[in-house]
Amino acid sequence: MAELVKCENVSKFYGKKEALSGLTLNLESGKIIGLLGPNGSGKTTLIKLLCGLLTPTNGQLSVCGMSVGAETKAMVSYLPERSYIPEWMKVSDILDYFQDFYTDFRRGLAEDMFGRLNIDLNHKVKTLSKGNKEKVQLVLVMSRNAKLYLLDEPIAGVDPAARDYILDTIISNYNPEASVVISTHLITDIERIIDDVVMLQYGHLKIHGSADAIRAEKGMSIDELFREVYRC
Amino acid sequence: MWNFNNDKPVYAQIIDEIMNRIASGAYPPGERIPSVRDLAEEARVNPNTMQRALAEIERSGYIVSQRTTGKYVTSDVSLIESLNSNRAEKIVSAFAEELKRAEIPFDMAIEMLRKMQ
Amino acid sequence: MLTKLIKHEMLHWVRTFSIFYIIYAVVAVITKILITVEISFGDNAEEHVFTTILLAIFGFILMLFSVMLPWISLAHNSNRFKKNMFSDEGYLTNTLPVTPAEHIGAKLIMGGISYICTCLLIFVCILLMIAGVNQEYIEMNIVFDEVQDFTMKNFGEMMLAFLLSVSIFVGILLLCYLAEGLAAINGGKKAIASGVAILGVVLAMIISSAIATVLRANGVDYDSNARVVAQIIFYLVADVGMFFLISYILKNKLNLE
Repeated sequence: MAELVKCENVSKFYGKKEALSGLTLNLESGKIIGLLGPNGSGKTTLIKLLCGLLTPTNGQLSVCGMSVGAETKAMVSYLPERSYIPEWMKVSDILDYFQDFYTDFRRGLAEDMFGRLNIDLNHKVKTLSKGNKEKVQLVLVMSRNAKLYLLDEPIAGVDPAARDYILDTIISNYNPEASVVISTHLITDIERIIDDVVMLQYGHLKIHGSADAIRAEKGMSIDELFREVYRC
Repeated sequence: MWNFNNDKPVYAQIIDEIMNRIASGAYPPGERIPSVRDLAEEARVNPNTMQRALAEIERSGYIVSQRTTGKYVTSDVSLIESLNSNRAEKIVSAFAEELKRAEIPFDMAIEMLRKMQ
Repeated sequence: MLTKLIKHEMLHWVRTFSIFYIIYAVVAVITKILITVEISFGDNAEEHVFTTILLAIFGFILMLFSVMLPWISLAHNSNRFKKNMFSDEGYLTNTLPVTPAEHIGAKLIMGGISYICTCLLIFVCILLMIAGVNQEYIEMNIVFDEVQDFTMKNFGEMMLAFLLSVSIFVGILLLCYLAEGLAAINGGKKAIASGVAILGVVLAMIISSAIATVLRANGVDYDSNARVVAQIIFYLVADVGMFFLISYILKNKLNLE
């Protein structure tokens, strides 16, 4: 399993505030990785660094052996927490847009999923319900045949049925050459599907290991471990 | 159908469930079992984890892999029978313990079981 | 990727800017109609004061619009840069497999196309106003001939003037982008954007005249081409500098909230 992501002593400062500090982390391909930690632990910062939306203050990051840039962006599929589709676009418009810029975009797959979700391609995205908007963004992200999927809170604002759908989509999209990083608070929902766990605290790496190994060693679920590690 | 306890390794629980299916005949001997992908989607787990579990079951001989056609339950019926008797023994021993603790005579329990059949 | 970016810039431009063209065209047509009506009335001034007043109003609006429209196109382009790169849309834009140079280039090119089309539209409108009007009022043929003559005789100077205006134009757009970029990475304060823009213009004027002064002090003729060439060089250098600065901001200083 190739080294998909490599972080070497990465730090990110916002002025004096330290968001990430001395982070050294390697992620392999073919894994579903849970990125866990309380608010402010550096999860979103790490994800944004890997997408190229931020640059590190210190240290180096590489994706598939390359520094973050236009080439790595072609291999990384990012789902941010917020809605980022321009208000005026119809679903078909954003499909055109993705198809134009991403050679790995599988339009047929996306249209299939929209069909199954009963999302009309001619609807303006802004008229969709919140849950449907999130599903649209998720479908777009998962329809890319990327090497690294970065999902920032993909299930947080979404009803339980939609959550199941999202997790099923992640499972069925599994590709041994790619990895999926899921950053979330809703650990119980993703417990079963994650291979590895990365836990951050105050910008530092606290735990990195296989989920099942942790369960066997500590005799508790990842959710319980989280509560123990981050006890207030 | 697939109920998981999150504080134990998932792959171990997958092994238990599939072994149950083999033992009970839900996956009959010599028959093909669903693909890793299908099973993972059905159980809603990571295909990696499913693959690990199946690999371990294969190692203990209850599943056989044909490279082109998929995975099959072993045709060795005696193996499955001994699996079944092991399962039964575990459950019956646990039940016997409970009866002893509750001070219920075995004969009463046997009579009740017979009626339930 | 650059062509795809430009394609999407064009789609956006048609969607959001064509309304201005439509309004402008409507005002132009109405004004033309009023002009034609006014002329047809000839000397009967008293009977149609109403038309005259209407013509004055529309004529004024048209003139105002004609002067402002090219600047509106620049503002539109600059605003597009801000919104596309630094607002929520920025999450989509900045994760595209595209370099910052391509992003800036595409918007710059669109800005140029927008400006040229706008100027052409205004020119067409002027022609429309003059078309068919009695020869007493204007001699278009003579004007065209004179312009052609002048251009042929002073081709070199015309080219230099053209180059200078292009480098200043690119400079204005890049200055706007830079202002938006600096504002965005400093908490989105509009004051910063305006401040940078004004500072940029003032600096440009100061350095520009400084160059002229230095040249004159060294015996270079006031009207010679050398002065224009020196200014072109200054603006091109400033443009390249700003381009790199904006690229740097996009690559290294971006922080979308």
